[in-house]
Amino acid sequence: MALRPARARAGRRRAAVVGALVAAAALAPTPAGADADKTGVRALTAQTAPLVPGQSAWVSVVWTADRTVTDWSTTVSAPPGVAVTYPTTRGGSDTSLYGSDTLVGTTRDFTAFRLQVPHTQTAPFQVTLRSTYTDTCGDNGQCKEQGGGNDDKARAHITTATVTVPVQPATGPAFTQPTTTLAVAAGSNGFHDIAFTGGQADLADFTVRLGALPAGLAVAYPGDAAVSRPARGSTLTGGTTDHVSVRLDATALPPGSYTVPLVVTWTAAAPQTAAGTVTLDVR
Amino acid sequence: MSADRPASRLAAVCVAVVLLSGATACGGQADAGTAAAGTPADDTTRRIAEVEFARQCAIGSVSFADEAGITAHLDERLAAAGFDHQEWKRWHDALVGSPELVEQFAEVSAAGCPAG
Repeated sequence: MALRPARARAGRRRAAVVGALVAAAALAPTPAGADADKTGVRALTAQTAPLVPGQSAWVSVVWTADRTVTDWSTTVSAPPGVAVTYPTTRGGSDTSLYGSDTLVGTTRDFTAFRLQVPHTQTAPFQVTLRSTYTDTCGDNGQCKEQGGGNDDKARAHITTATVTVPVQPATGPAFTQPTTTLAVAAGSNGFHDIAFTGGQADLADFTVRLGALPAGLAVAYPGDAAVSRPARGSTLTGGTTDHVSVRLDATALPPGSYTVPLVVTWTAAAPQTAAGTVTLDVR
Repeated sequence: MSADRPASRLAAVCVAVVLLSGATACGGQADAGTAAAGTPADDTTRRIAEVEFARQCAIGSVSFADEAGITAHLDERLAAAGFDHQEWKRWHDALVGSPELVEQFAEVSAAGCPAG
């Protein structure tokens, strides 16, 4: 919002005076220990949920405090190769608490963040959480909901916590294929979706193509590519369901049931290929 | 309050800031007074507190493929207890201004999380 010139000058003068007063108060001598962290903020989580090599997932660390703190922000440091991402709702540079950015004294709340574990990470590792928050309680412990404590001072504090992330071998299939049958109208020519659900680990560069086709069927892939890729990107994220699209030209295909082979490729620790099938129910 | 930092000096700074900035109060005293009214604790708030505490006990040991799964994890528990997310949200937001709700949450969580 733009201020008119006279108001703008007045506003600048006012801001300068307020700033000088606040700075003077901040620079005044402070007795040792007066600004010590008396909130009792601490992590209750010693280790997160286990992850598998190649997995990306949201994990949580629970916190508590002896007295209420506000303006909570947490950043996470992880070993090289382990990527950390934060909720987009805060701009992606930090995370806060689930319920709000206030941790009410003696209650609990948690910070959540996403870890992307490389396929080469097969051993447990540690992450360090650096949390900043504001204590609005005064020296005598009397607190206010906002602003300063009984001494009209809000104190910014930092706490770090180191948490172990267990890493265990993946179990179960790399992916499953919920779509086993496609209903195809006789004489049609259009796109059909085949769904895939990732196992525990992410599958990078996930592709699907049809193998040997029955006489009278032609196939094409989005963008005239040689294969189809998941709709949300080239990676089939572990634990999520995505789909690939294939264009089936059945204009010369007689009605009936056809089992068509699928060739599925992806990269985990190394490139992989698997065979599948999809049944076309042409009516 | 420290003897080296007289209250009168901070009070003077506060008054000056109020006069110059147009603020209505120092240190949020007005807000504190409003919040002190608080939300009373009853059987409904106890049941929500129980859901929340059980979730807090479980959340550290589960991972989610996508961010929305975190809220789904809560909402499933709330639905099983007959509540929805908005009811939980109102309860959570009321915690900061209600010593009664905080005390009730402490009672609910006194036994600690189940082992294992």
